[in-house]
Amino acid sequence: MVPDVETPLREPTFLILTALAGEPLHGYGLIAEVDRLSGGRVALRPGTLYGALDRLVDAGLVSVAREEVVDSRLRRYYRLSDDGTAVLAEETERMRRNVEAATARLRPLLGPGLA
Amino acid sequence: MNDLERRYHRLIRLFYPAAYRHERASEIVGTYLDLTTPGQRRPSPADVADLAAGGLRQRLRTAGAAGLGAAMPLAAMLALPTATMIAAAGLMVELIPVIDDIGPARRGAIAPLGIGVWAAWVLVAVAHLVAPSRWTRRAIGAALALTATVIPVSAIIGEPRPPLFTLVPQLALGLVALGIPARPLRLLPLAGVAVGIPASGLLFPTGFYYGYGADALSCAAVILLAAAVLLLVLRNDFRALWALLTLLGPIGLLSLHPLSRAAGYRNPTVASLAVTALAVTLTTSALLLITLTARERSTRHLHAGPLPPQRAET
Repeated sequence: MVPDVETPLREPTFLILTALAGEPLHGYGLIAEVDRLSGGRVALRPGTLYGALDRLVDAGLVSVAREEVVDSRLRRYYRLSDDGTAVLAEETERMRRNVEAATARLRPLLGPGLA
Repeated sequence: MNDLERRYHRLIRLFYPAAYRHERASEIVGTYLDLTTPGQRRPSPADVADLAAGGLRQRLRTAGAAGLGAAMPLAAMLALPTATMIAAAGLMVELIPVIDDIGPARRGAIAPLGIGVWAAWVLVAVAHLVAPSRWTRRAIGAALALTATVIPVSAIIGEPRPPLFTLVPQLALGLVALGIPARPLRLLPLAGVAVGIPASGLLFPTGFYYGYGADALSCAAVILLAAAVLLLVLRNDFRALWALLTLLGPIGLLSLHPLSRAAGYRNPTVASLAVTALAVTLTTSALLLITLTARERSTRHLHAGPLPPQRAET
């Protein structure tokens, strides 16, 4: 089944999937990991995060791994599904090809020092 | 529960639908509390804005799950030919010279605003027939912008324009028509034009918008209502019900004159028509919202968020 998700993924969605590729995370953990992965550039807020998670769960890219109750508060852990892994791999490959193309065009302009 | 936690819960109650907050409020509030700084006593303005936006997204998602989004193409396929039919009739009124004994003969050339507005809607039908489907929505958007713009422009430059009781329902029909699907029956809007040209003699028999015209527009409303009810009977599903409820607004606005008279205004004025239009818009919107809420409650378990797979106390 083709996941019901628009590609290319928007950056917050890409970063959420990337964060979950490491291990299952709960809301606060996801926000902190996305912040770290983006170098502090993408600061998700809970309302935005849970909206994105709802869409990703609906699309089958993310699922609930487990739940805990900490200090009387519910904490859900989310994990990347197989479809989510496939979409993330596809997006990463698309971006890698773009980076390679841009790097090849920039090298003559910026010299061999360009990575 | 401390004051800060209570305040976050209050905001979630304010912004989110009941079914969703029943399932997720504790999780969302927990995440906010994890992010709070020491000594923080109130949600920040950014938190309030974030919750307001999140709640709105969730309400739209709930409406989509209830089938409202899927109903929009159905409503649009009835609204667009109605709009092009009225536009074609209006164009005929503007273009065909009228000679009477109560004023100077009018010619189309002296009413460019009316010609421009109605021609824009006729062009929507042409675009839908011949251009790639993405152009239909762009043409509808342009016609909507022109229809809305012509009202202040007419006041500024002093040129006559079609009366508001034709422009307001046209705007409502156009907004619903924006939901037109990518490749529906391509001839449908043009069929509206084809019906509208001869129908102008029935809709506006004096050649003016006023007189019979004001009431005759409600004939278009009755036809649209009958088509939407027929669709509901044939399909017997929620998509057709949402389409009918969505179309009630434009149908009511097409019937401003008879509704205004029914409300007690013997000779409707601009003010009485404006009050009636506002009442129609509020009533039909409230009816749609109440039905959506009732539907949401009846299917709460279907779209209340992800189902919990396992639970562990720590």
